[in-house]
Amino acid sequence: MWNHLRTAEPLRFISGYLRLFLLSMLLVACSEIRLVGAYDEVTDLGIQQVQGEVSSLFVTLEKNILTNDLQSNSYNNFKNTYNQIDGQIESLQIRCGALPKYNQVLKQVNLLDSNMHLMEKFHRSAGITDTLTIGLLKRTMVVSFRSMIVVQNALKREKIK
Amino acid sequence: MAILNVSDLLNTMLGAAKESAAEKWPVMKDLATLSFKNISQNLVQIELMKLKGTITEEQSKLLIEMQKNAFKMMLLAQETVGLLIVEHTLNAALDAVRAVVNTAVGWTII
Repeated sequence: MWNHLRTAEPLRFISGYLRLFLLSMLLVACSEIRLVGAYDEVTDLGIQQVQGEVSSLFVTLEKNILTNDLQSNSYNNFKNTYNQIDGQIESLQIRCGALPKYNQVLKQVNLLDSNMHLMEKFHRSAGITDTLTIGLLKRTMVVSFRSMIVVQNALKREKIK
Repeated sequence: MAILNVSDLLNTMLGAAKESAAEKWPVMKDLATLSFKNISQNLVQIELMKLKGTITEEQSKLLIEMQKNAFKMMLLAQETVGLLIVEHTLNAALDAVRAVVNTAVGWTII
């Protein structure tokens, strides 16, 4: 019986320390829990830049309609603008893909990319010739960007903390 | 003659969403209502534009796809803000016991 205790005590002692060590390692690893990556100014500015480009695109389309210059709204005149926006979104995708725990933001950027392609397809298919259409497209893009800004602002508050 | 109207569409969508989201509804209510309002307005406008002959079937499908993407983006925003709240809560809990634990153990483990 004593022999059993003599061998069991050190084991219990070691196992106690091992438990404490493992707990310490776990707490050190968890000293700051991160579920979403930290705020990234480059990403935020990139989103703002794309938003600015898309707003300018809508303003140009709208002005052309209001001045009865419908010819100027043909897709070919906006091909370069769409390409430029595409490039900016691609840069954002690369950056967000490289940042740790940026999956949520990356998913938003991917959906923005999809929406820009759909809008381009819309423009290419039959043109944009009335303000009602622009209103529809604009409202949808506003919801998209607003959702992205909500995330960026939430991440900013985290940085300030 | 137009058949669709914004408030009918909005109420139907809100009712279905509320039932589907169940206990999660209060969390997403504000942003979801805004998105559904937007979708309802757009659906009514698509009908008007179809009647005026200013939109094609392909274009209306593209618009609906865009709406769905925008809605997904809104849900992602909601989800991310939720994750950040959880993150802050967990870190606040660890902060609260940091001094006591570190002093008791004698190591800076938190």
